[in-house]
Amino acid sequence: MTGGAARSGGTAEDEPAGPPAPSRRGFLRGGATFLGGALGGAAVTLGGTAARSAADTPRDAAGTAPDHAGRATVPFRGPRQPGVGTTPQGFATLVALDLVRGTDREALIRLMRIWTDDAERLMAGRPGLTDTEPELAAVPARLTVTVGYGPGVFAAADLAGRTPPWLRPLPSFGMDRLEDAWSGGDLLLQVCADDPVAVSHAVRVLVKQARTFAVGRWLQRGFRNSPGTTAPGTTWRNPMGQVDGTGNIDPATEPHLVWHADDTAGWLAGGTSVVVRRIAMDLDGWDEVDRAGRENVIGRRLADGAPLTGNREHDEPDLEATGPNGFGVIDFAAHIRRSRTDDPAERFLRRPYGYDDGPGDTGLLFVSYQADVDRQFVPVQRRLDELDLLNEWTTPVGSAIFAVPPGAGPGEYLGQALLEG
Amino acid sequence: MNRTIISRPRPRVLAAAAVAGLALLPAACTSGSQAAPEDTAAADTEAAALTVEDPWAKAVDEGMTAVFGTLTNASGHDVRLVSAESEAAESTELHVFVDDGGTPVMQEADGGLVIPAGEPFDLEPGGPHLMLLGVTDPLEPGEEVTVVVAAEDGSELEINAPVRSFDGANESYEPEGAEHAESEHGESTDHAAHSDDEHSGHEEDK
Ligand code: HEM
Ligand SMILES: [Cu+2]
Repeated sequence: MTGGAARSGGTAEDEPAGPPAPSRRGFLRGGATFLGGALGGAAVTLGGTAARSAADTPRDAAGTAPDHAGRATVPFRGPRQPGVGTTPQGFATLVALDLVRGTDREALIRLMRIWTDDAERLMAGRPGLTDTEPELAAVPARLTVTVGYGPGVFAAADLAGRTPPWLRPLPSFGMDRLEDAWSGGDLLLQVCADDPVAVSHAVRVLVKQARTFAVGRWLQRGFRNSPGTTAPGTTWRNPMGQVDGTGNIDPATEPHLVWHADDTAGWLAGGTSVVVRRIAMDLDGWDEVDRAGRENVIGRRLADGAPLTGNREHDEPDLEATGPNGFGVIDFAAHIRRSRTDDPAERFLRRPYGYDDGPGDTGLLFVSYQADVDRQFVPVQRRLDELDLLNEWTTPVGSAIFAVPPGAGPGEYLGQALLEG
Repeated sequence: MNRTIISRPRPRVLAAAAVAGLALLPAACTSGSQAAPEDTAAADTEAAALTVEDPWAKAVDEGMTAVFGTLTNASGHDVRLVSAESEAAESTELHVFVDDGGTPVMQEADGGLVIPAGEPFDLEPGGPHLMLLGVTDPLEPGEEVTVVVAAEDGSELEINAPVRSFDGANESYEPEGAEHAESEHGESTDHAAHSDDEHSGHEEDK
């Protein structure tokens, strides 16, 4: 019942970007023209200051510039926001903000104009409009900025009637040990790039420009593998050492699982939802588990992520297979058995990152995108809460949920269909 | 109105180029009015073209603030801007920074701002800028403020500058003759009244 696995090397949603518009200063001054094109296979384009010097940059035999990962850009404009179907970048920062009193619909429109403008510039490798460190914008490294709205946005905009029915705190689960410090929020910024400098700079620009509208609530940083460090298509490993993402959906082949359809969804057409769960890992406890035990917890092999019933990572797990003593080869409480249901609608896009905030504070920044949280995510989370071997070593300590408005088309700002529709 | 008087060979006309974020108003508004005359034919025939890229203004609750951006002059010859006006401010001046005994201080540009042909001219914090004096209604982040700058032939350029929070551009403004309302450069009383302010006015920075 799982869909085609999303390969981490590049999904169909990584459309090539158009050439970046000229920057505030550098491009004008240099009179340089855009030189980047689609990179072989990576389906991204080059932007930023680096693009100007592309002609002078030495290339390897395949014609790849050594800094191509830094110069790659993801398009900002489009019917859907970037950073969802985008192949996960190496680094992510998620920031939740709370609206300050007095931020009404008119103010939200102003904030969205600002974020739209700066996100577009930064993703193209250009400085923000008032960028005080414009040089830091020169390496976009597939930067994406994704904006989400918590329930507070709808209340502040006097649009409570348009709140999607699923946009409310998740039901509380028995294993939850949620802390306010990692939960909730009126606005979400998910900023991802293949370079942490790009992420840090974009977060600073966007949060700084929002300061008369909203204040920070929480900030969480996550990591996966850096570009160029693993073969294309390699599934990353989370901090427990498990191959994580094999059974994911591919939003390009099953877009309805992630995106609201254009005809029925009103302002949410082209939008989605995001669940952010901070899940602490008890790595010291995990140390006590031997390899066979660890593999049994998930139902997959550690070496290559293959199901315990198969030989290769992408072999379909056989949940019926039994061993010599009649028990399932894949444990009846294994994570991959419990996280599947017979209902093909109960699936979603997982886009997690690892976090490591010091000894004893490591875990998974679980991020999932789905069209309908109640229909798709909650039933699976409930099953896992009821029974999942993994629960012994994992504890949700934060939880937040946001509606993700559609992307900004040419001349539009993010959230326009909601705030003006 | 506070206006610098300049005398210089006539005239430089700014062409009515269609440029994002900018509308060029033709000659005849010598008083700096924002009303655009209907007939743009005269300006259209001129070769000159001035464009502004990435304009922005520093948010302020009241008092002083400034507008920045990059001007490009494609006319093939220098264009001299002699005045500026905005409905958002009691008066608007063209400012530059000068060295005042080792301290950079801003003052009204002597003889206006000459935008050289063919190369970008930055209006930026710490450099030339359009100074709004006597802002009474807050300029809030995310809105736009319109400033019209006039060249010495009276042709005008409308700049629509998005307003942004900004911590810099706090340079103090000590105009010459601030102590007396009728200075030799004709600073208005409003101008003098704000001479102790910073760009951002009295309010907490946005
Ligand atoms: C720290 C917490 C978690 C860890 C370490 C973890 C780890 C894993 C691993 C290693 C796999 C197998 C490889 C793969 O298909 O990706 C997996 C699969 C999966 N996990 Fe998790 N997971 C965690 C939390 C969650 C949560 C909170 C959910 C949803 C509520 C979830 C839903 C899924 C789903 C749907 C699959 C795919 C099952 C399939 O169809 O094969 N996981 N997870
Ligand atoms: Cu000034």
